[in-house]
Amino acid sequence: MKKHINLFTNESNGEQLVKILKQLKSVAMPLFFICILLILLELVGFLYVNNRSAEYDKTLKTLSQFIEINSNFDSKIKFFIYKKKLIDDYLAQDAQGYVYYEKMKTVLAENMPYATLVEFQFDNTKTAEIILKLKNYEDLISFLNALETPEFLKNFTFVTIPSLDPTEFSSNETELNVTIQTQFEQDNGQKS
Amino acid sequence: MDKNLKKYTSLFKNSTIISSSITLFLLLSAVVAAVLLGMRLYNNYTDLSIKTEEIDKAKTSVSLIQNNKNLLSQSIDDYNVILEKLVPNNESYFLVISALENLASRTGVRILSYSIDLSSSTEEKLTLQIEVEGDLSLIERFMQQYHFAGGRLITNESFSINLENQENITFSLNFFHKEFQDNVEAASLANPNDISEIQDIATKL
Repeated sequence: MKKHINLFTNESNGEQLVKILKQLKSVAMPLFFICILLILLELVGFLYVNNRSAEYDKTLKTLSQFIEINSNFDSKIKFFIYKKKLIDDYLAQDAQGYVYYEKMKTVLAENMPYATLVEFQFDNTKTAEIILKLKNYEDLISFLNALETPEFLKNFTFVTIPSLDPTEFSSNETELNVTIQTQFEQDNGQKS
Repeated sequence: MDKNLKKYTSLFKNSTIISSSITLFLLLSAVVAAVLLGMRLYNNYTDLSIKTEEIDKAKTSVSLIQNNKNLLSQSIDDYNVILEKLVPNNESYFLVISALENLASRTGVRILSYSIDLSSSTEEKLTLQIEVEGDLSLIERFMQQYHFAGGRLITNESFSINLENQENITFSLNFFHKEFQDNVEAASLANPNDISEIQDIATKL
């Protein structure tokens, strides 16, 4: 007759279970206290957050009441700021031609009093095409000299003469129209 | 069968097993409680953050009102009437004609004709080519005053003037209109310069 050894004996199961539970308990106890500590910290956190929340509710209520009372004024301010900004934006596109027209007349009076302003074309890039009338050859020479002076050039970013034919002055009676193309330096702070 | 039952019964009478089981149960309960409380705390904290943002927004609005109230409370209605005149919410034929008539009478030039420049006009800008006549001093006055003399904002982007011949000078004038849109940032502030500019404009209308 063969003998069988039963490896899954119930006797050893009970002891093993106790052993495992003992080990689990030794781990579980510190974990439990850590969890309790965590819960305590969370409760403190709750207290803090709830107190702050109540304070914020109060503040928000006060602020909202103020805004509600002044809502009419608030919309008026917004209208003011909106429309004022539109005006500033639109005016920024304006050529401000009169300012530069006057400036050109002053520059001519100071630097080329013999030249007569005949035509003034201007756009909002501050670029101008100007036609000047000169009476004689001496005026033309003076004009060309004045054109190179720092006093004249400081008013412009560039000055060019597209074409010039001095031989047109065949006699002293002839008048010569000279065209200059130029761009004015930005004249900040001047509004008409 | 009875033998097994006896064995299990004896196990449950073992003090180590009982205490360990209780400890494990408590641990499990504590973990569940800690997790649930943590989630709740996180939600409350998120709500608090949202409230903080709301308060910041409200504070900005309040400061917008308070700061501007000192500057504008006296005459905001008057200023807004002027601004609405300058850039009306809507354009109308009557407003444009009225502005041209005002412009002519205030500057002294004669407006001979006008036409709409469709290529330059946009949704908020009406561009008119106007032909004017007058002596040089009147033309210069027109150039100096056209911005507001018509009773509304008018701009000019380019022009040409012949000083030897002031007949039939053409100016391109822009008239603006735009409906108010409530997209003003709460941090926007009117400054004293804005007020003095509006007051200055009011004298030119």
